[in-house]
Amino acid sequence: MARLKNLTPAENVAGQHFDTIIIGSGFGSGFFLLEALKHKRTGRVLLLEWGEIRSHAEQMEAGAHSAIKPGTTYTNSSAKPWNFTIGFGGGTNCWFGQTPRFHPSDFRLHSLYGVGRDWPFDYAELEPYYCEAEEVMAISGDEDMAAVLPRSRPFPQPAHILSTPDAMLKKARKDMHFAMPTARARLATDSRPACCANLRCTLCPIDAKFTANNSLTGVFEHPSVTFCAGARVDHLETENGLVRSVHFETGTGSHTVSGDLIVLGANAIHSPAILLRSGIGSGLTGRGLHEAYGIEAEVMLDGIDNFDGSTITTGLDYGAYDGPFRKTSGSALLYFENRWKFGFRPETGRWRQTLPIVIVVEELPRDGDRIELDPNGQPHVIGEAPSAYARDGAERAFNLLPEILAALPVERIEKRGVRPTESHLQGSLRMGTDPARSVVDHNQIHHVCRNLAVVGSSVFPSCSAANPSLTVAAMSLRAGRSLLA
Amino acid sequence: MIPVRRRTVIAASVVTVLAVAGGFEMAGPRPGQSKALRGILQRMIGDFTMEESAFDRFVEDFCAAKAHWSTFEADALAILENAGIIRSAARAYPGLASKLDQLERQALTEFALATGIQGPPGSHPLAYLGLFASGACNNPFARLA
Ligand SMILES: Cc1cc2nc3c(=O)[nH]c(=O)nc-3n(C[C@H](O)[C@H](O)[C@H](O)COP(=O)(O)OP(=O)(O)OC[C@H]3O[C@@H](n4cnc5c(N)ncnc54)[C@H](O)[C@@H]3O)c2cc1C
Ligand code: SF4
Repeated sequence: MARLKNLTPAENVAGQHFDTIIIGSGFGSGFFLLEALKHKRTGRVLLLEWGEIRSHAEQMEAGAHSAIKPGTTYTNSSAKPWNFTIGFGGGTNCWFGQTPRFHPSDFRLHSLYGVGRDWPFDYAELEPYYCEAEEVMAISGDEDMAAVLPRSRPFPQPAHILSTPDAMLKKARKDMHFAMPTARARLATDSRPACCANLRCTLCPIDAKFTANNSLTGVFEHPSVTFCAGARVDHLETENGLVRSVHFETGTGSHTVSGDLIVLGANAIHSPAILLRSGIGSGLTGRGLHEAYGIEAEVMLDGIDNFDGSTITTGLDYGAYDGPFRKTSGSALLYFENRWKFGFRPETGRWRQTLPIVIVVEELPRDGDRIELDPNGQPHVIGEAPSAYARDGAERAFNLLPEILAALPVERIEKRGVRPTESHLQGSLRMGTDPARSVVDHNQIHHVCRNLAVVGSSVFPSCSAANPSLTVAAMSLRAGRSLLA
Repeated sequence: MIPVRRRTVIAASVVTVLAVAGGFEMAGPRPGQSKALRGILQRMIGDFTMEESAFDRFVEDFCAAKAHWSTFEADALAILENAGIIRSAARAYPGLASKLDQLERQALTEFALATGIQGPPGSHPLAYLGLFASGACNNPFARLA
């Protein structure tokens, strides 16, 4: 097993007191820690991580990010699988590095369209933190994107090279069609080589995408931090409305530590499970689990080849994203794939004349979709099939394709089915101003336990069609600064 | 030439197998698969020359990588292909047609990438260079600069 310098056996920390205890080491926790270490008040930090520390080389060797399979950590009677990584770095290991920001309208869904929920802050408030998170991950992107997602700083890295179909669409739809913003390095950084379009980003063979392993170990190894791996947090104990201690299990038994500030970043299934086992919070704990809904299409091109871009997904189109239609059907983001997802075309001379498109659609969170505890105290996921709102949004976006693709020579467009999951679990401890309708406040502090912060995608009050992790990272920087500066 | 009635019986029983198959992972090539894949590829790209042992290695790697093709499915498709009736069976059974389409496109893609051909192979012998996924930075189409 790979090691961090400050890796400490659980027995050595048991019974100790820390100023700050952080649970989990994924996007939410990692970016919170990055910010927290800039502030004196953070003091001594203990980080408790359930999984092991597996280096990139070890992951390649094993063909897996972690020995713990996500499906073994919860039971499921919802209509879909939920995908994540238990291990050092959490979702930074398995993600694809797609990093669009959320759209300004995503933060005001209810005010604008009367559905879903507003966020307790707006795009402008998060914008500087988006820039900082993009800097940390060396995000590559297209400056024209500011037309849709206003930005105060340029992208840290230049845009990836577009495929031929993307370049044609870009020319025709400059302010709607963009090079994909991504944490797959366009140019080599100090810790990552440039992406060379290997097209298997979940375990990138050359380590080109941002991960905790290649870019945040310095943060986790900071002298103020003690790191315990293989430490599964079971529950928190409260006294007078504050969390006093954290109870966790290791291979050697159960242990307890105490802390002043507790930061819970265990993902959108396990964070609520920990709170449910602790008896903390209202009936909303664990409710509203959701993710975006995705379908796939294949565009048969007439006379132009695809796959000549410089990364796996080269284009992103906002032609089906925002408008009054969101009163009744979901916003959709269109991902243009620079890969042979469905294989080459069979016709001689036309092998590369295919363009796979992924249509990702916002979902409306429903309180009935939830996490409960099973008789063993482990999370059990309950959920219905995707809503009509999401399905209608997908249908609407699919029907718009001929118009959106007007600049391309299109022979035909075929539906290729529903994606089993977007791997974006979120929303089970939602954020809001009203304690009766939300679990954490605008700074991600638990409404009831005021020394408990929740980080990660579990706090999302609504579901953007855009990938969540850049927003998780930006929110953690914001929460860290507002709490500790 | 297989008589029409026998052809129908083979196709129907194989389609039944396909309908109930699922969940079995395929570990390496099974009898008939090498021949079937060669037949499928020949139909798609024309005749090609490749040493038998190299082609067998391709088939083995291909089958291992496409583990979601259940043993039953792969066997059934191989039986139909080797009996020379896969096309007519696919016309009769739409479920089979989409499976065949997927298999054909996957086989073509992996074979083209693993041999470096970008069109009909011509008469020169092909070498097996390994599956695309077993290498790194070997995308023949990507423009990186
Ligand atoms: C295959 C795949 C592809 C993805 N691609 C993208 C993408 O391209 N773009 C994007 O934006 N997002 C992507 N995601 C989603 C992304 O991974 C998540 O949005 C993100 O990781 C959420 O961050 P988080 O902090 O909430 O949780 P995580 O990053 O999952 O972190 C949770 C951490 O808590 C630990 N933990 C869990 N339970 C306990 C416990 N009881 N005690 C101690 N530790 C615990 C875990 O081991 C982990 O370290 C992808 C996800 C998957 C699975
Ligand atoms: S496209 Fe290839 S090089 Fe780039 S991040 Fe993905 S796997 Fe790595």
